[in-house]
Amino acid sequence: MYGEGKFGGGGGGGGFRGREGGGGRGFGRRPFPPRREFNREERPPAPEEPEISGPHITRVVVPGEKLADSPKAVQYGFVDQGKTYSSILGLYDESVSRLVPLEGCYLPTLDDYLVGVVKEVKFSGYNVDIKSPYNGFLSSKETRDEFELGDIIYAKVKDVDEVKNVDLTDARKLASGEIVEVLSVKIPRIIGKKSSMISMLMDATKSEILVGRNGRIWIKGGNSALAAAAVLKIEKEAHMPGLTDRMAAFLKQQV
Amino acid sequence: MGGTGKMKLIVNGKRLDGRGLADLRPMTIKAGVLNKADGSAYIEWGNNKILAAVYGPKECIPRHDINPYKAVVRCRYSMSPFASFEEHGRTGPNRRSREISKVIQEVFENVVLAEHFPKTAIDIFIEVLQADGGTRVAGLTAAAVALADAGIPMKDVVAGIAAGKIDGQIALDFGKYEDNFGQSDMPFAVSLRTGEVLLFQMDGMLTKDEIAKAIDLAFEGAKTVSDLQVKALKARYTEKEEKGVAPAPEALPQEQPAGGQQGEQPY
Repeated sequence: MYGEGKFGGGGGGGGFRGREGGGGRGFGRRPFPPRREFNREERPPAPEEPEISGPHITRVVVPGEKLADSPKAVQYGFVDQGKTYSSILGLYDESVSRLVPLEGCYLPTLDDYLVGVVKEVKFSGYNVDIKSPYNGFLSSKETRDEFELGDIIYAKVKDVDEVKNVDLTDARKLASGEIVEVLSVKIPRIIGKKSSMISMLMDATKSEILVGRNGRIWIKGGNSALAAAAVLKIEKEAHMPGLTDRMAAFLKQQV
Repeated sequence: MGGTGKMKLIVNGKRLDGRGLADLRPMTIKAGVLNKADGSAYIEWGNNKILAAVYGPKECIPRHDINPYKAVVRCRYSMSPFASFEEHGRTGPNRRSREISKVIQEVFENVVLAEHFPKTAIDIFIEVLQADGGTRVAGLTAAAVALADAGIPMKDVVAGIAAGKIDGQIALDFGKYEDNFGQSDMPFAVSLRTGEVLLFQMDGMLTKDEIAKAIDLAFEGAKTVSDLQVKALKARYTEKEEKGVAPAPEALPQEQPAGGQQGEQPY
């Protein structure tokens, strides 16, 4: 099994041998984490969706635009001389002082689930492209599977340090299926409040969908072409109110 | 520049193209014009036609340029060989474009919140497709829009404008002939939120009083420029809203053919 693959074979890699014998006791290593199996019912919790439609009135703001005359703690905002300004192009909701970005790259955050591509296989683990300015690293200690160059994996961010070294864990390979890339800032809308949008999509298309917070969406089976089109439609119209109703109508029409 | 007086630039208080002294040339800005860039903008300002593209934050290559504390901002201004009447020779960096790249880079180093992205690089490309005087401020204006369009956090959207002296009078926003035959040209970039001056160059000569007057005029002009920049950025999101109320359904392929998922082939 594990430990006999690319690296463990031929007696190489003391770490692998150590682990096979009694889960690494005596080496100061913790035993392997149990193999995680995902299925549709017990998917990882989705990040909470910042709802921007409904009764809230939002406006588009640009960098340097004033949000409030008082200092406020607003994400993506900054305070200068007692006033709050936006630092990005985003949607600002005055009533709850929330600024949602409209553009921007993905910055890894603790406990995010990502869809990545194995970019480099090393003895100690894998460098993973996570559609971000920074690379992810999946240590061999964190996984009992072995991956190859170009494998698509679904993994969780275990740690991000101050110089943005990103450690991944809980990885599993995504075999077959297809991937749609969208802006990572639109992901909360694709998931929807309490996963409402993504469940609606999965019910309508009968596809298996995994959403990576980094803006990669894995779709397998069912009417995957419709699922992909729906995801791209959400990305395009994410900033407009009444998105859920529009998507429901869109899916009903297409199915 | 030289103020030779060979060319009359102001007649009856009007300039060559009929503008008043404090008027700007017609300007249109469009954000998000390039698909592959993270952010982009196209500006037409008088007869200037300039594309700006922003890539990043992305991995910093070469690695010896990496700053572990913040993103490095890099800028490349380039004028096409076909951009104006004069022969510009081969494209690529020359003494003039390297200077302009450097001053524009320094403008954006001062407004981009680079500490959010340690170890990365943000690349700004400014391509002058057609030149008619004041390309550095026009390029800078477009680049500021492209940066905001890329979702890069900034303290402000910088506006660029040129002021100067033609036929002994202080005026705003010079075209090619005013630039070539006027007495002084003063490119200027400003963060209007704070009133900070981020770029200030001068060609020719001005007295202290004239500079003060030119700066006042440039600040006024920058407000117009800034309004257009904000409008261009917001237009992308308000236009869609109007169109999107009743979206036209596109025909979609129905169920995937069964051959789509044969075996456990890796993706």
